[in-house]
Amino acid sequence: MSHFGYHGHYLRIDLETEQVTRVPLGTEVLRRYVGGSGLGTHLLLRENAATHEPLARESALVFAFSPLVGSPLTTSAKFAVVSKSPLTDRINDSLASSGFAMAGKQSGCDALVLVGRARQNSVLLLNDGRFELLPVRGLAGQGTNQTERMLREQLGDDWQIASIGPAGENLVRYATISHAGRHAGRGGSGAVMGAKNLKAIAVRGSQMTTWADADRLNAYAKDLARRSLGPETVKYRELGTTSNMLVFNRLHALPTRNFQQGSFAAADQLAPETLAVKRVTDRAYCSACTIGCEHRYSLEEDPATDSESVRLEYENVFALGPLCGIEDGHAVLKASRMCDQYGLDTVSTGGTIAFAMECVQRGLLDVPWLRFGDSEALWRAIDWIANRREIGDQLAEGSRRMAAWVGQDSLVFAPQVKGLEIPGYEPRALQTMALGFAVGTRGADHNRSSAYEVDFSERVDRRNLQEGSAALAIETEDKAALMDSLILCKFLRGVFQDFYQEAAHMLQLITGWDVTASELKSCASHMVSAKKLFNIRAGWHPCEDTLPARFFQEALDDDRQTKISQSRLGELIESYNQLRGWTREGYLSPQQEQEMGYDESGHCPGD
Amino acid sequence: MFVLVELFGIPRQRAGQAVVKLEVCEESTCLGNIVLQLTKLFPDLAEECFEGRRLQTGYIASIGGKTFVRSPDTKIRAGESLLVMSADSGG
Repeated sequence: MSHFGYHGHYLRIDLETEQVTRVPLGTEVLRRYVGGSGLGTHLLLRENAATHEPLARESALVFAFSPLVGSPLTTSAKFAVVSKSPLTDRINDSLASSGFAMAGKQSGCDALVLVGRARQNSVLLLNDGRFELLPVRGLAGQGTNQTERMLREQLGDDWQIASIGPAGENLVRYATISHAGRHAGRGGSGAVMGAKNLKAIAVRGSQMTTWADADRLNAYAKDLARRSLGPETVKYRELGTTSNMLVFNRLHALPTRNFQQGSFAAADQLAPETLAVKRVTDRAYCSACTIGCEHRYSLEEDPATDSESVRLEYENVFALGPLCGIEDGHAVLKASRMCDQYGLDTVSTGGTIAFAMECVQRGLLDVPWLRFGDSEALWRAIDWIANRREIGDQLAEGSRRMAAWVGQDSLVFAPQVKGLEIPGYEPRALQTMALGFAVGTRGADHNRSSAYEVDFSERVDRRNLQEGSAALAIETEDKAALMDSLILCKFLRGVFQDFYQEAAHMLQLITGWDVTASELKSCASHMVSAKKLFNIRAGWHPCEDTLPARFFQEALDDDRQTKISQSRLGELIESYNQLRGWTREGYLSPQQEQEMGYDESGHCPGD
Repeated sequence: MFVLVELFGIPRQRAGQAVVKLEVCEESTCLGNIVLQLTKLFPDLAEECFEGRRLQTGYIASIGGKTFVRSPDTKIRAGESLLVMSADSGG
């Protein structure tokens, strides 16, 4: 069947038998799940992946592209990596950008589903749809950038490469998959790839999809590109996401010393306004992006002497800076570069180290060198995590598992939800976000919930959960689900007057479908329910939808009015579940589950 | 009587300073009047962040870091702090 915007099939590759199956994707499925995160969730359910151990050979690892990839639409060169998370044992979808998305789609499929385990440590090549496994030579133990460089030298510059670093090879539960300095970061997809004995995936191809109305698509893309350079994105273009630092600090929303405080005395030193004076080197763009949010910093006082600059984002700086009590910009830059090279998620790395530092502070853990504010300790801990050395072996498991190992009620202050470490949005200071964290299918996550948008508006009192918070959390979560499936960068969201209307317009021009805004709203909600279905099949229980007890028991030291009411949060979680049409506890109703259409073998009508 | 305006991110870049102390004649003023006062002092800030008495869509203000406001008619009392920042907090 021919489709505009799609190839109409995915490749299912069994790494053990080296068998490749081309599986058709029907219009009904594509229209319901669109691409990216939505399509990846569908494919995981189809593989019945919820019931498998994430690091077992039978687990599935999905790379999903989208109908927008390869189009002239700004920020559309993205791909989703979807699997069961080894960190949370729940669904995980992480996104990354740039040339790999375009080359992957041009290799002739809408998604790759990898199952089985390669017999030896390998590189997967996909050359215009032809599959090959090469043994890894000289790449084992190499960092992510170096792996890409070495493979390019071997294969040629026209290949795009996604790889894992030593952390993925060592099955660190929050290892990333990296491509061109960007990372499918959260939830440990790098460990899933490592467990499949895959060091890297290299793709290239020439199979372009066509657009239903190319002329109007080009005109629309030009207009969107123009709007993408307006006031809604200037922050990202000129300062980058690190400009959150001083605002969050002022609002007591900057998690500090493992969420013991909401502001950090040295925040000024880590803000781009300060760091940029001496250390900024350049600004970079993903492929097909007009915004260019990526600000790179030098580790050296004299950038000219630095061979490799560091991409700095708010999440890196918060997690490796204030969260661990680190004041020195150079220390944070170096820690960030180490995480990038080892292939470690910076949020989970910083979160788990900060948790351990608090354990040491409280006398629950006998690792005296692991102290808040000690740069050397931070660097050593990162190195030991990636290599699973000594205490690093426990840290590599993430804060929830580590809390179980430490015991002594330390779970109360382990900074995680469902095992995923909390990003840089203090839940007590941003309480709609707190609700979003609690109910999130992949755990504490700002990208899948985006409820902080509501807290930073005149619509709520950010320090109190209130009636209506559940509906607002759903609104932002649904919008994020669609953006992650189209896939478009969230930094564009302020540019759209009516996001669903414009998303429908884009899909009409690309696919020729008569899709409407209202259909897409219902698709977005359906995608969230599909992720929930995955979790239920993976053993989810309603008690998982909560926050660490610290947030109910302790106010912030520096803002005594902020504490979360556990009973209020519980009421709002029930409201959230009911507004989604689920049971009060959060299960899909039998009718919804049936309508979802996946039987226990993963078969789905419309395939 | 004064209102203390704290600028963050792009507003700070454009104004070239972090804090501005604005004199107000009465017990209270409104967001729109503060925006007009800032426009006179910092034309670059106004060009990027304001539209007449209003904040551009990419920006938001907060009274004392607690309540977020956008309406130009929002009352700001003397002695209060007004924070001006980007409306998008994506990280």
